[in-house]
Amino acid sequence: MKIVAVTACPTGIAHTYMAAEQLEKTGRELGHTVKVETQGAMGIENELSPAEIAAADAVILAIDIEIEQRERFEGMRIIEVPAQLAIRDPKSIYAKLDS
Amino acid sequence: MPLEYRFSCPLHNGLHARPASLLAELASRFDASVSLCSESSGERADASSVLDLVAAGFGHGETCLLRVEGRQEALAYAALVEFISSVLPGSDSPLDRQLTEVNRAASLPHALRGLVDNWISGIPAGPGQVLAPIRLAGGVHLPEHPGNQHPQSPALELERFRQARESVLQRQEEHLALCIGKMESQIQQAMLSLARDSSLQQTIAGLISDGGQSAAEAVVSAIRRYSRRLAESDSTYLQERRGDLEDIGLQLLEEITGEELRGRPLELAEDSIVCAPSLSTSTMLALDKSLLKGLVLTESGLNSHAVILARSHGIPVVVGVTDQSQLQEGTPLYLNGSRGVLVSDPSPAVQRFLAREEQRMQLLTGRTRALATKHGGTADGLPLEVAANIASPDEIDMIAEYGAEGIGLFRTEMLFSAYPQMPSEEQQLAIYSQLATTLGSQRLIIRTLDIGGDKPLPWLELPREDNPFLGMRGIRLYREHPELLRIQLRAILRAAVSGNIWLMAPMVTGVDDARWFREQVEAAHAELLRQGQPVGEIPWVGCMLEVPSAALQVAALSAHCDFFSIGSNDLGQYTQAMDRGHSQLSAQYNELHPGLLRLFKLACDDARAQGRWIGMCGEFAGKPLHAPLLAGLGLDEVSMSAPAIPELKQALATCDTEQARQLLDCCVEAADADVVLQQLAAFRSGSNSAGLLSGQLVNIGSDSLSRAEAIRELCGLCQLDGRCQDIDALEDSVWNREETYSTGLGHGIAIPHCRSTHINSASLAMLRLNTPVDWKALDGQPVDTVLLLAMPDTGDGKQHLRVFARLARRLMNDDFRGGLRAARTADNIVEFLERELVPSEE
Repeated sequence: MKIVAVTACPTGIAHTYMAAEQLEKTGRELGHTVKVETQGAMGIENELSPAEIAAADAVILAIDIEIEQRERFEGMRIIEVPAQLAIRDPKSIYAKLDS
Repeated sequence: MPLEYRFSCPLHNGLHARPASLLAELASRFDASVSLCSESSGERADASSVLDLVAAGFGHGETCLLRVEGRQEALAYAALVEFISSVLPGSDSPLDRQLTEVNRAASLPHALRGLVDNWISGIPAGPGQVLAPIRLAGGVHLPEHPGNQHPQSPALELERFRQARESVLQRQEEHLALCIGKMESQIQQAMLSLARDSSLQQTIAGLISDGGQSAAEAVVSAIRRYSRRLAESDSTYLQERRGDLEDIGLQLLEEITGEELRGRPLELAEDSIVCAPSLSTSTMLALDKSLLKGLVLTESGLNSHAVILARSHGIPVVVGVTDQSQLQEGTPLYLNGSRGVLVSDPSPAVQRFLAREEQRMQLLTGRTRALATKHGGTADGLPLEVAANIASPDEIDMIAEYGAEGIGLFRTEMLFSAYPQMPSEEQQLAIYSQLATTLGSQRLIIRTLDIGGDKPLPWLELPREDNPFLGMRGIRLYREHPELLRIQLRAILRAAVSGNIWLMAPMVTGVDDARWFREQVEAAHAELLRQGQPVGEIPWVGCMLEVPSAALQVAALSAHCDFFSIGSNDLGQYTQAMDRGHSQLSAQYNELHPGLLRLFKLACDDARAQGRWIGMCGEFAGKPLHAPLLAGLGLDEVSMSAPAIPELKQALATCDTEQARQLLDCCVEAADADVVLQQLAAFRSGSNSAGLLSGQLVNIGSDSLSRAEAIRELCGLCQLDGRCQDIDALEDSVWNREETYSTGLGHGIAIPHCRSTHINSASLAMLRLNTPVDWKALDGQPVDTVLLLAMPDTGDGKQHLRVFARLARRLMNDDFRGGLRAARTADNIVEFLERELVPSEE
C-alpha cells in the first residue's frame, strides 16, 4: 500500500522523530511505501506533496497535538493514534489498515 | 538663590532607608537647607531627615527635585549631585534587585513528591537548604501604652528623652564599629540614622513640651505616627521599615523606663534554624552567623533587614509561614529557601535528598572558586588576561569577586558628569590613587574623558551637532578645551606612583592625534616635575582603536603608542555605518560581520609585528561564544563587565590557539555574519554536535534511585558545566514535559527533554544508573539509561534540534542502543554519540 503519515508531539524535540522512524522502518518491513512528514520544533520537514497525498491509500496521523494543514487529508482514510503508540507498537497501527 | 537639580529616582525599591540614610548623612554635613520634592506626588521632605525622606516615599522612576539653599549651598550642591548621580544608583545591592525573581510559590522538590506528606509551605526568601534544630524566638512589638508614666515637668521629661537618646545613639555607634562587611555596615548605618533623625527628635520634643506628654508617651506616639506613614507607602519595602523604627522606639523606651522590653538577647549554642514572627535588625545583627543556619520569619515580608542580612550571609530564609503548629523548640527542621518548603522532623528520604544537594553544592562552589582564581588563558597555556570594565570606583569590590585580573577600561565620563563644575585635580587624584592602590600591581587602564555632543556635561556648553557620532567627541574636544585634558592628565600622572596605571586616549583617528596626545602627556609631566610634584616615569600611553582609520594604521601609530585597546562597540558601528540602537537597523547590525573581524585581525597582527601590547574592551570581548575568535586574534587582554568574567575564562580555557587561529582565518573569509555564527557553533565541540555534549555531562555510575532523582542529577550536571544558573527552574521545565506523558521510550531508555529559558546552550546530558528505576515507560520496563535533551527557548537552534532528532531516530535502532550500552567510560560515550550524531552524507 501507499501510505502517507504525519508525526507530532508536545515539544517537537524527540517523540515526533522516534515515531517517524518507527513508522518508516516497520512500513518498509511490511512492504508498504511510506512517507512520513514530521511537524516538530524545526517546523514541517519531509513535507508531503499534494501528488503524494493524492496517490496514497491511507493516512497515518501519529500525533499528540493538533497538526497543521490537516485539511489536506479530507475525505481520505485516516488512522489517528498517539505518537507513543507508533513508538511502542508500530505494527499494531499497520494492522488496522487490514481490518 | 537656591540651587536646583532634577533627577529620576534610580532605585528599584524607591528611596528606602539605606540609601536615604546615606543621603541624609551627606545633606546634614553642610550649613544649608536641603529639601527633596517629588514632582508627581508633590511630597516634600527635609533631606537631612531619613524618616522624612523615607516617609515621603520617592518611588522608582519618580522625578525628584533637589533644592539647596544657604551659606554652603554651592558646596552642598556639588557633593549631593555627585552622590545622586554616581553613588545612589549603585546603593541598592544586587540582592535587593533579585527579590522579584526569588518570590515564587512554594513547591516541594520533585525528588520528594510522594515521599513527604506533611510539609509546610512559606514564601521562598533566601536560596539554599539546610537541616538543623529549631530555635524559637518571640516577636517584640512596641506597646500600645507605655505603662504608668505620669508626666512630670516638661523640662524633666525632655531631659529623660535626651539621655535615653544619647545612650541609644552611643550603643548604635558601638554596633556600627562591630559590623562585618558592607551590607551589615550599611544596614547598621541606616539604623543609626533613624536613631539620629532630626524630624523624629523634633516631633518627640514637641509632644513633650507642647503636648504635655511624658517622654515615654511621646516616644510611642511619635514612632506610631511615622510608622503609620510608612505603612501607607505604596512600596512594601518601605512598609517593612516599620520594624526598624519600632526597634529604635523600643530601645528609647527601655532607656526611659528602665524595663527590659525586648527580652533577653538571643544566643545560639549550636547550629540552629531560628523561627520567629519577625526579627529586629539589632537582634539579627547580634546573632552569631556561624551558628545561624536558617531563618523562618512567619510574619516578615521579603524585604525586612533581617531577611536582607540573612541573604547577604548566604543563609536560607523562608517567610510568610501560616501553619506554625509543627515549629517546636528543638525539633529538627528541613528548610528549603529556594522552594519555600519546611519539613519538621524530616524522614530519611529528605535527609538523603539533602545530602545529595550538599554534594552538588560543594562541587558548584569549587567550580566557581576555581574559575575566579584561575588566570585567563587558552587550553594550550597561552595567557590571555581577563580584566573588567568599570565606570565608577565603587565597582572595585565586585570585580575582585569575579576574578578580574585588572581593569582594562576605566571610563571616566561618569566621574565628570557627577560634578556641577569640572572636578578639581585633587578630587580626581584621590579617586585614581585609591583605585591604583587597591589594585596593587594589577593594571589600571584609565581612558581620558570621552564626551561629545550627544553626552553633554552639566558644566560644559557644547554646540548641538547634526551628527554627534561623527563630530566633536573624545580627543577632538581636547584641542578646544585644553584644560579638561591638562587637569586630568596631571591627576593621572600624580596617581601613577600609587600603582600600575596606563593612560589611554579615546577617538584617535590617526598619527596626528596620537602624537599630539603624547605631547600633552609629556607637557603635563614636565610641568609637574617643574613644580616639584612627586611623579614617576611617564606611564604607558596608548589609544583606543574605535575609528577604522586608526585600526588600519596600527603600525604608524606605534611610533607614538605603547599599547592599543580595540573598542569593539564603536569600531563595529563605524565600520558598518550603523547605530547599534537604531530602531530599524539594530537587527541588521552584527558584531560578527566578517569585515569587522578582518579589521580586528589586521590591527592585532600589526600590533604584534610592532611588538605592541593589544587588548579589547568592548562587548564583543565578554561573550563566551567569541572565545575562539579572541584567542585566534592573539590579544594580550580582554576586558568586560565583571559578571561575564568567569564564563569567559572557562570558554577560553577550552580553546586551542592553533585551531582558534584557523577558525579566525575562515571567519574573516566568510560571506556574512550568519556563516561566522555557524562556524563558531561548529567549532565549539570540534564537530557538528556543536558543544551539546561533554564528558562533564555524563555520569556512568549514577546512584539516583528514582526518576525524580535522576532528573535532578541531570539538571545538576548542566549547572556544574556552566550551562544553567537556576537548577530548580530547569528541573521544573523538564517536569512540565515529563508530566504530559512519560519519556521512558522502552528498552530501558528514557529521554527527558525540554525547551527552557533556563538552559544557556543546547545540551545533552546522560546517566547510566547503577539501579534501574521505574520511569512509567511505554513498555513498563525499568530504565537504566537516561538522556536529557535541553534546548534554550530563544533562537532557532535548528542545528541542535537536528542532532536531537537524529538521536531520537537512532534510539529506535537496536545497534545504536547496543553501542551506547557497550561504551564503558564517559569519554567513550561522548565519542560514540558524536560519531553517531554527526549528519551522515545523505
